[in-house]
Order: sequence, then structure tokens, then C-alpha cells
Amino acid sequence: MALTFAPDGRIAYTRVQPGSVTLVVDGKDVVAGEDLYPFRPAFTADGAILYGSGGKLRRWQGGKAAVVPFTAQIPVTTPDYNKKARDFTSTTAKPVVGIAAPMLSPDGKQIVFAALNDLYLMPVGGTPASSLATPSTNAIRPGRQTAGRSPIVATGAARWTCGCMTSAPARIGN
Amino acid sequence: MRKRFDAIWEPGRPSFGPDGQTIAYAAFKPVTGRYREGASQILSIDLATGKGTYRPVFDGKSLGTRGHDGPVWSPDGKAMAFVFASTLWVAPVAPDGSFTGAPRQVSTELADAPSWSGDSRSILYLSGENCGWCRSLAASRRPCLAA
Repeated sequence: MALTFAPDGRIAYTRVQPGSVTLVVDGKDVVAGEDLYPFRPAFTADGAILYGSGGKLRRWQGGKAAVVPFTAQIPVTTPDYNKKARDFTSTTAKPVVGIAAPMLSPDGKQIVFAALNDLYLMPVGGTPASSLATPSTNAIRPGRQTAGRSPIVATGAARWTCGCMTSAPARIGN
Repeated sequence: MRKRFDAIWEPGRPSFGPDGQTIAYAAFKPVTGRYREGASQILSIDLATGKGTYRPVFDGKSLGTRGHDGPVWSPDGKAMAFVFASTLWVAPVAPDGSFTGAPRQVSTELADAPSWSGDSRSILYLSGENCGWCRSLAASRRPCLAA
């Protein structure tokens, strides 16, 4: 992998095998037995090879490799921009712009999906109905039991089963 | 609950194969142990032996998002649906999760979150165009959700 051309036309590539990564240049193993970064090396104008291995940047030339020490200044800035106004308290009806992780029931007649951090069940072609109050965590992900009767929901910390939206959620484990 | 395989980095949702003997899920496979570059493949776990096998969906290619984009085993165990290059594909599979034929593309629009009907004849997926369409493998597309 990682085929690349040297300025003088030689071809370099990385040979990846279980337990070893070797840099091959012009048909010869140039870097072997190192924890080599398995993608394209860089060639300098004078034909040296720059590559990464073992957490260091190295330069190979004439059969010898040496670590290239470097420092870098990385400025960190706090971005200054107009932040979007969010309304989390109003109860005015608003359009839902998307849903997540829909799943079809085994009989093909209902869909369970997550939206607005809640669980919805909807007959195909019908109207979604929200679940009962679910535990207040994030990342609701609907699943489905094999029997197809009760969606299993994974929330941030636990898994719950809801009996067809008609009974209270029951926690079934961590 | 029993742990059945090693912890890995952000795998996808698991899917049971026929008779519950194999679990398949999208898993990231790095090229080497040090660096993070690699490809997302289908990892199949044999529950009897605990052995895991990584298989790419196509040689040298990677799945995109792992979370809810498959692989999803059909209830009859004969196929897996997955999202590759943002569209929906279906491949015939053996009970161990290996492909027995070439995958075929079944959507040309953006697709996400595939799931099967119990009779293995329909796949529901989230459509990039219209926030949810039902598509049966045998019939034409029809809407399931209000836009």
C-alpha cells in the first residue's frame, strides 16, 4: 500500500504483513523491524526519505536513519462568533427536522424510532405516538426483541424494555 | 449478561445470525496497533468458540458510519443489509456471516439505519431525501413517515 514516487522516479511502497510493516524503495527493503507509519513517506529534493516510526519523525539517506527533532507552536484561539439562540423551555409546537435509528417491527406494520430524545412508535403510514416518560438520559437507541412485541431501548446508562408503549418501562440490566 | 468479545473502538449495533449462533457488527480494524488509520469491516463472532473474524464488504474498502448502518442480518439468515458509500446494499451470506455472492446495491439515494421485516422481504431505511421511506425488495418504494 501507500505507493509513491520519488523525485527521481523510484517507486516506494509499504508492505503490510501480520506483525510487520516494511518500507520498500526501488524493490529493496529500506525500513524494516520498526513500528512504521504505514502510509506514504515523503521524499526530499536530495533523495532522502522522511518517515514516521516508533513515535518519531525520521530521515533515511544512504542506508542510515536519524531522528528529526522538531518543535511546533500551536496557537489555540477561542472562536468569537454569534452563537445560535436555542429555546429549550417553550412548549410551542415546532416541526421535527429529523428522526434517528428507525426499526421495522417483525410484522412489518410498525416502526420504532428515536426523536427529540424520546421513543416513538408509529404504525406504517400512520401517526407517531410518544412513549411513556423515559429515564432522563441521552442517546436513546431503539432495539427490538426477537419476539417483536417490545422495543428494547438503550439509553446512556441502561437498557429498558417498553411493552408496546402500554406499560411502564422496565429496566433489564446495565 | 456475559461478555462475548474484546472491547473495541466504537463498533456498530450487533445483529444475530440464524439460530443465534453468530453475531455480526461493524467494527473498525486499524492497519497497525499504533496508528489509528484503518478500515471498518464486518466482524462476525462465533458464539460457540468466541472467535471473531473480520471481513471487508469489498476488498480494500471501508464501511462508512458504523453506528446504525448495518450489517443487519435478515431474519431468515440468508442475507445481510448494510450501508456502503452512503447507499443500501444487500449481500447473500452463509451462517458464519461470510458473503456467498457479490453484494448488490438496492438504493441510489442516501440511506441509513436499515432494518428487516420478519419475513425477510422488506427493508426499512432512513432516506436521505425524505426522512424515512419504506422500501420492499420486491415492490416499489412507498412512504412510511410523514415528511
